[in-house]
Amino acid sequence: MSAIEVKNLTKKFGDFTAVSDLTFTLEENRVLGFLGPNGAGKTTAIRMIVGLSKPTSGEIALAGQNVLFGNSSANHLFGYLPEQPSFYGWMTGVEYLEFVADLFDLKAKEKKIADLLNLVDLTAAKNKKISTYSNGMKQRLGIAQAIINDPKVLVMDEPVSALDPIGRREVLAVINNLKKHMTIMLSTHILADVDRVCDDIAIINKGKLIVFSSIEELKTNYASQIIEVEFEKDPASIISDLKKEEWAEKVEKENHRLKIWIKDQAVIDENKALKFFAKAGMPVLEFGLKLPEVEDLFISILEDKK
Amino acid sequence: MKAFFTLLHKEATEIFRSKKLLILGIIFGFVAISSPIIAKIIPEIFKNIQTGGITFNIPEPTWRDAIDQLVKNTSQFGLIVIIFMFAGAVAEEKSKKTLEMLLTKPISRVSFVLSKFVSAKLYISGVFVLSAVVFYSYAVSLFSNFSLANYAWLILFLLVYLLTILAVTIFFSTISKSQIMAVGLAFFGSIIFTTIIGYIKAISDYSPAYIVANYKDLMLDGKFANFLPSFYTSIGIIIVLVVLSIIFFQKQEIER
Repeated sequence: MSAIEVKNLTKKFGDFTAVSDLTFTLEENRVLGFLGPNGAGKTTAIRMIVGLSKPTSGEIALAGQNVLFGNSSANHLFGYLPEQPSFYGWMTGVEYLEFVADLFDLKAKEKKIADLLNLVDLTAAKNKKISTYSNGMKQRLGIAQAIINDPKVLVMDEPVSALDPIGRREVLAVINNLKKHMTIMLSTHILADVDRVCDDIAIINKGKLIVFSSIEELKTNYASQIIEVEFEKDPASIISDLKKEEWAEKVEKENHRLKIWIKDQAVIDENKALKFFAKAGMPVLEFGLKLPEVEDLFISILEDKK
Repeated sequence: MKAFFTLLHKEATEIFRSKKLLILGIIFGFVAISSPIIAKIIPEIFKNIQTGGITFNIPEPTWRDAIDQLVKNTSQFGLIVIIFMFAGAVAEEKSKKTLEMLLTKPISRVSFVLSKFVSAKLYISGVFVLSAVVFYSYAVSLFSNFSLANYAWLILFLLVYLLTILAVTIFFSTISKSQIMAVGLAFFGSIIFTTIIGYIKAISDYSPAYIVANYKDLMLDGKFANFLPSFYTSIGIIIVLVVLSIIFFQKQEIER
């Protein structure tokens, strides 16, 4: 059984089509990174998937059960964490979790809540009012409420975007822990995080799905290798000549570093790049070959689709 | 059903902790205590400001004057306090986005709207009935004894009038995006339901505010049957507005 099944999902606001004919299937116990530039339709799609927004057309099934707008019959099967979750500030953290546990009619909720507070590292703050929590604490409480029912599917909209690096690391650690037990779909624009936690990625742009693939497959099939070089001095002067080389597909500069997308393995085997830098009189400090990261793939794919 | 009681408990706790219950208690308590006092001292004040040459013929105050004050104050303060306190019931959950996570839990939207209405109804009823008891004890001690049965009918009809305002408020809170919008619409809606209908002769007997305009007859002769058309209409309006709130809310998409 598929964990998430989305068929021909479309959402229109008047003449504007926010999500167009979105179709994909995610198998159980996979982590899907749902990517796209700002305004691509990620949040609109997610809100339809969890039943908060009514699709113009299309079907959604989570863990085999259809999600119907305004009907909560599938709600016990999934957990949902919106971007910047809002809580009742007058409740304490533990009270909020008790409230949610009661909505699910959970048995032995005290132990469950204690375990969750421990997992998201909020035990010490459990009796403080949520209005006094930091963004990171709220995000972690948001994760706790989303998984309190041991959902088969966990859907998270930008779970780390509002967090500082420490908060981000903490939340990613929690997600990494959870991926053993459930299927996760998360949208994010922090692409390095996708590399860290996801198995599959779906990229949407202007409401349309342009790629759905496992990250491994994507890296193998889609992208070329990248050479990263650090120079002693600013390499700006050689960029225009470098771009003319038939083996260099794309060049990006960052301070004294260059990132060069190469055409094929022969570039490495025949040492074409180093020969070029020697000829150009650019002393190299560091030279390395790296596999593309999701960020590189994402940019390449979006540029291709343009 | 369990989810409904969980939501009801949450609403009840919120009303208590946000001091809404305290404010309700203070307002209705003030009305209950001040109404007999005002009825008692106003003639005294007039006597003291009489100047030579002009004679005010001021009758001795009675419990009827206290009832006048009670009805006037309840209808005015009640309207204001209920609208301001409960206009945010649903609208605020939308504007503050707390609804987002809640509606992805296994709860029906019917339970959500009903929990809002029932919790507010229970608190308003409790506080108002308690304040009515305080008023009666106080009025009887300051003035002479009066019919408890007639007074009980008056309180029942006034309570239904207040609950009609509550239903109007919750309805507009459900269809509004913000609390401010809900306050404005609830005032507008309450004025239509309670005041304007009263001015249309053909249907004025059915106005929820009929009790506010005709309570003197009830207190004097106890003929509550005259008030039943308005009573049943009010109950009907409450039911229709709660059902409409549920229908509208079920169709609403929760915006980000």
